[in-house]
Amino acid sequence: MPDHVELRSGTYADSVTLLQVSREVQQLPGVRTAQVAMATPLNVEVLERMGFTLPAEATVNHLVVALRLDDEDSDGDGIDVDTVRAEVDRVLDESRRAPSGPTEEAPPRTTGTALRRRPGALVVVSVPGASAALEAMDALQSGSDVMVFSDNVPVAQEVALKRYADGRGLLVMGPDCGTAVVDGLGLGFANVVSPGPVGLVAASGTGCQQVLALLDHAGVGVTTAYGVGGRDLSADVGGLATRTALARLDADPAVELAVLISKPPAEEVARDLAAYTETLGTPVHLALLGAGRPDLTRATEDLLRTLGRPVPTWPVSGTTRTVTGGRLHGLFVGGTMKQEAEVLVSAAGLDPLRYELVDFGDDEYTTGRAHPMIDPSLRLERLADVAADPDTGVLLLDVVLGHGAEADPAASLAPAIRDLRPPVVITVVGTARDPQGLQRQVAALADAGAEVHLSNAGATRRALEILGVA
Amino acid sequence: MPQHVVSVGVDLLAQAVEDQAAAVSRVDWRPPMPGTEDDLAAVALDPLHPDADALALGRMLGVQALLVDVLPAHEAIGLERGEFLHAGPPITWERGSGPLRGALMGAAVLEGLVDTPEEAASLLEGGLHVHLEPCHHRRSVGPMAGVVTPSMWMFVLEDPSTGARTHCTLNEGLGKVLRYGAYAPEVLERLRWMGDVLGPLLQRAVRATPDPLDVTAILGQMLQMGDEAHNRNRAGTLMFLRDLAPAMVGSGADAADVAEALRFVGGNDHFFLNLAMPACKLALDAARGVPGSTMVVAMSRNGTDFGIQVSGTGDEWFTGPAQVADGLYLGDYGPDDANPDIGDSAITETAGLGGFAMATAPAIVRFVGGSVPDALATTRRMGEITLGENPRWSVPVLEFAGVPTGIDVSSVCRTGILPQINTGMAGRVAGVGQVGAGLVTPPAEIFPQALARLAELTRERAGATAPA
Amino acid sequence: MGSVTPRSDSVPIPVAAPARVADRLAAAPDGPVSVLHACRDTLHLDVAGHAVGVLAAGATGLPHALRSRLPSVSEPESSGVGVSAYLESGTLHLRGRALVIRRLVDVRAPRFDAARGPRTSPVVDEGTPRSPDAGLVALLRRLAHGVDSEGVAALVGRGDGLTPLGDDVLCGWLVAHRAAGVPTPAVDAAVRRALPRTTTLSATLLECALAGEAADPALGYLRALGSPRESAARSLLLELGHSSGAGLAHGIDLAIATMSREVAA
Repeated sequence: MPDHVELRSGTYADSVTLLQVSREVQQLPGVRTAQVAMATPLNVEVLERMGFTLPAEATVNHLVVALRLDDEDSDGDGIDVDTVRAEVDRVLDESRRAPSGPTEEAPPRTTGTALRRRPGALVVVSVPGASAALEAMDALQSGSDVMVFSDNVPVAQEVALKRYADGRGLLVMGPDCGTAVVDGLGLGFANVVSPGPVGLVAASGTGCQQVLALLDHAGVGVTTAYGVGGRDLSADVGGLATRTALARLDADPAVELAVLISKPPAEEVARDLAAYTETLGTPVHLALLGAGRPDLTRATEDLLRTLGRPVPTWPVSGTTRTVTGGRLHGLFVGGTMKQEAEVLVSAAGLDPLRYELVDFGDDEYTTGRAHPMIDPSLRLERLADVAADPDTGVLLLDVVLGHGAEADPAASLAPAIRDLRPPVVITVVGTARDPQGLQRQVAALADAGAEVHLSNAGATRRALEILGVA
Repeated sequence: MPQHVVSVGVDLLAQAVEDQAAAVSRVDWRPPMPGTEDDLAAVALDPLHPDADALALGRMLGVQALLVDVLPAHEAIGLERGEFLHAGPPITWERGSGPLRGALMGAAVLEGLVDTPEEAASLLEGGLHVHLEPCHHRRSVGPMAGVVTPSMWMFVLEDPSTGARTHCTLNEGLGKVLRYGAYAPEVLERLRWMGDVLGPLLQRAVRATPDPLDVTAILGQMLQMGDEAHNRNRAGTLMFLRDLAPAMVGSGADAADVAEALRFVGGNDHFFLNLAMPACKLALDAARGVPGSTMVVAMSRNGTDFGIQVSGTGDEWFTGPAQVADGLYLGDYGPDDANPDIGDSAITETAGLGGFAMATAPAIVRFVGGSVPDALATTRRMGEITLGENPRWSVPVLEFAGVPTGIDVSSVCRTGILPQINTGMAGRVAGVGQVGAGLVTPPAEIFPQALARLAELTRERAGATAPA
Repeated sequence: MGSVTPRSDSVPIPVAAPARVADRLAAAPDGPVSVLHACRDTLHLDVAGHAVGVLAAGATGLPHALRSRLPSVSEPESSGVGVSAYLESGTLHLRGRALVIRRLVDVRAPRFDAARGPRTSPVVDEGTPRSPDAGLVALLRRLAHGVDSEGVAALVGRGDGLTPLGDDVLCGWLVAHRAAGVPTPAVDAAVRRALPRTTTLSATLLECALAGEAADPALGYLRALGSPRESAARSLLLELGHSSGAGLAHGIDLAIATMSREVAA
């Protein structure tokens, strides 16, 4: 059966919705492959690798529908292209319909209208970056805090938003803020936490999640974790959101210790911040990450000691063998997990030619695609390639659980690592109550032959040890 | 604990909130009109912007329009011989459509500039000693062709708190009338009677009435009675008559003239339109000229172009082709008979009435080819592109919500929702009259145009204040 | 994210839970669970001798309850269908659907400093809540001069309603002390001894109060004390239940009066 590829214009849907549409259509009997996606260069590459030929006029504004049907069997049975196309239409249509509720009104078309109906609500913005500031401004004008999950928001817009917010005591979390916990409610990719004495302010989502997971294991609760976006502590932005976040934590009687998780701020920002934290009643612990500084696990241990709580031994499940020589391949979904590993690996003096660490959450891999915490396929592809390479010494991965992430990461990862030649070390970042079931995920991966850690730093050190590096 | 979350964007994030047993509202977001993202952000992040809109809207809502006088145009607005006002943005004779040309021709004869309509055509074509100008430029509005010349009598409305004024001629009635481009002798005869008898009589009555007619308040009452003040003005006309009749009778004018006038006004369900329109203009004029404000202060058509003016961009017009309305036709007229959209009457929608108040005038919906649920949905939908509500003009069936007011250029560009206008349709051929009624919108492109200019001004201001 | 929509009775219901309720459910044995009380938006179940609530969307948050977004938690009584509930592996099931805990809520009273604290509480005599039980009212007036263990013993279980008024007053008194960080060991002990005298539900709520946990409007009131929002928060509290809110408010007033006297002393 020949492939069917068509371009559609004037259609819009986000990459996660399109992933679900593709999956649903692919489940039709007789359909071998169905891919419905925006024609970004990355997606085009993926489709071409699958053997599809795209028309030359495809642009990023086009929606591509690529179908490959099973050959007709001997009875001449098989599904026909138009039926499948109709199914694509049906599923796309359904995905656009707002969930039906008891309201007579059409759903709001802007954040402003939504807030007129629900004044005081917290706003989460995840539209394309060029439009994010608009929705965020609606929130601020209405007196609401806003979390901007979107990335690719120009820094000038970030500054304007944060200045406006600052004048009104409002908080802009982000842009590019992937994780927050506000009074126990997780926003973005977030874990289920118990209320407790720690408040976090984080410039990185997965960094925040690692600390939440370690604290959860240590029995220490976190009431609130504010994300401030990766640029907040740069000279351009000057830490505006960080200050507001720290002020909020300081004002909350339930917070005994505030923790700032970030790479080191710009010099003048660091000075201003230090001066500011002096004025607060709540102690602020700085967990700044980078070469020569404590890793997140060590930072967490330090803050546990500050709180007077016991420091547990971080759990490890499963065993894996040692090897001699070979390269260290790190395949990460969490940007900070990868950065932390990089610091540790280069501090150990490992020759750069002997390791490769990849962040599949980086823009390079996610334009027009769902994040790897939702869609693992790109990483799994790479894993297969790298595992087959005889030069590979050890594989190092992270799995991030919690709301927003895929429902069962082990379901696709465990089979992919079972019976692999190179040893596999995995960090599973999660809390006891995460919907994926932390224990279940750890057990499945350990059962498939991996050594599973809660601490990314611990896992990285283990990978180095396995390779025979001091 | 946030009681509620609003999610705009990827559904996954909304789902994740629901999965935690927390309440979330999803915004039905669509990409904005192509190419507008940068301008939208520039305007939204303009420090002046939020206060500017609030100021503009507040000024508009604070206006009270009182009927203080009735005067001929040469006295009311100093209109001179050879000057012709018309509806819509600026236009030339060459580009004028049938109804506009017909009305100009008839008016030229009325003023005695020429003896016949044919001579009028030559005069206007020649352009010597004739000057065309939008009504809006002279603090006036006119329905359909909206042609005003010096001898035509006009209502004078005033806002007591500022002394600001607006004007509009008297409505001629239905059928073959000047505003639809008819210029036959009976049309001009009627206009002369209006100038000789009706105008002066109304003037005496208005001046004799102790409390000036509060047109703003009447508009509020009309909405409770099934009028939307653009296509349906029946209750307004009757209330006008009720309030003015005693003074008309007591004016000392000839009883036959009074009877004729009462019959004339009472027999024209659209009479009040010519008070509704200047009342809306008076309110919107108060909102003009607020730097940084994206509020629309005029929507208007001349039969060829549709134009808008915006508070933050001064007197600039942003224009595009006027559309043909979609609706129902009278008799055996059809789409080919309809002229493109014409008239200043879209000032009613600009103020939150007409199509914006459709929910309150279910009777009008069948006339324009819609259904009652459509009417409710339309008023609600207009809420997506407006800055607020008018508490004095409220809609009973929507639990007395105020009509959506203050069209926001940014919101139109963001949502792609265009202001909804209820309009009569003029015949393409001059003098045919009304051929139907229906729904029409402005051409979409004028909103990104206006937005681009607003963004330009914002950037200029930012450049001027940026540190060296 | 599957393609086939599962039958509604096998789709789990996400709920938010206070930490101690989550722990209690995890530790309780499997088996059927009986209903203590049911109304449209609130259900109280008996789990191993303690009350665990299940709240519908919009119902007032209670410290012993799971919070859901269900439109209602009970069928109307006229339907004749009872509520069936059971516990399995630490998860409550309602009508065959699992109530899965996906978020933890903090139901503990926020800290405040009693010394710096708020200080106008309504004159205690005038503020005594109404009750047809004259003895209870007299008792409350006596307590205005100081809550002691005998007074407590007399209060537990006194009054009408799902939660007797005397218990509500005690809850308010206890939670206000916990919020101020002031221990009350003698009264605590007396309350614990007296628990068997009252309903299972009320006993559970008293235990919550001993741990510093209370209904959302009570927490809101404590949080608002001394701020411009205080009177609005008090009005909201007074709306709770038939008299529960008034009882809680009175208990908080008594506690503040007690603590202010002690601070002044």
